[in-house]
Amino acid sequence: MRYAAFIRKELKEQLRNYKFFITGIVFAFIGLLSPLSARFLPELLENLVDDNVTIILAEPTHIDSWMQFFSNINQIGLVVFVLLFSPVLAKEYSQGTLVHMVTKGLPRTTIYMAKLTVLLLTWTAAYWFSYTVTLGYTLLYFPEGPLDGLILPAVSLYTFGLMLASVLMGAAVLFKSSYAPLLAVAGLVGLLFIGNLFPLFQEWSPLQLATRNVEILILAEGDASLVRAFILASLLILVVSLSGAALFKRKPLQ
Amino acid sequence: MMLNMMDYLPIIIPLVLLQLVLLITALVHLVRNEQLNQSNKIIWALVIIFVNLIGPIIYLIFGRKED
Repeated sequence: MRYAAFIRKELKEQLRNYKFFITGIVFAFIGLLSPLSARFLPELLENLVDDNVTIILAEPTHIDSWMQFFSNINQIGLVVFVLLFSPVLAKEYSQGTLVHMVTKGLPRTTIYMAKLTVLLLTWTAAYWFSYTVTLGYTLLYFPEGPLDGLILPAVSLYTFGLMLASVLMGAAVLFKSSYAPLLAVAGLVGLLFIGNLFPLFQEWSPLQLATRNVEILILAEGDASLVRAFILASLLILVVSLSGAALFKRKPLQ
Repeated sequence: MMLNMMDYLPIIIPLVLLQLVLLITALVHLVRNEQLNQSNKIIWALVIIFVNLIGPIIYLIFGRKED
């Protein structure tokens, strides 16, 4: 019960400080822009170049639309999401607002779990909303494109987002400043990219979930190394969330 | 080859609407914001209106100064 009440409080707060509003608008933009730019860019290029120069461009397909979608979510969506929700605990720490609730008997685990739930739910809603918009417009502009094979790459990028969100929450417990969690997430992604230099690491890296989407879409199936990425990402989500909760129990609240 | 604008209307209209909603929300908030003084408000208004898309978002994240 208290869990639900705290979630309601948290939802209300994020609504009041415009975070849901901004997330919604940004993800709607991504959803709209992806099919538009896939359709529009070749024509735009043709118009810009003067008539003596001919550039040969392949007719865009639904693959281009999804390529835009995955790269936009990676480069804009995830960045905005992590940036917006990086101060998820910092304000509570700095204003000491959690102290009252804890002294009145609200378990710390409840606070942590409710905040994590809201973070994951926000990502879920934003991501699938954007996905639905892109899907709708892709069907409109590229009606010949097949629908199969779309779910796996979409779910893999979604899982990657869940992983970053739980790391963000874990880092928010660890560091008290507003933007340290953001740096922690950026650091993790940076490390994953560096690790990708090594072929062995590549086959296990959860980064595949965010970088191989188009490849999976074209192949229409995953392989063993993608499965490993899923398993590792799920493990990481679990470990980071549990250790974050354990750490939060001992952390001073001010 | 001319761009056929009609083809793109179903996607451009929602884009423009989103932009307007964002712009108006940020401006209404700015006008009602009592934490900022007059000259700061003018600067923010310029940012919100002229920096496409990013301006209103930056204001809503960093410029509100409510808490």
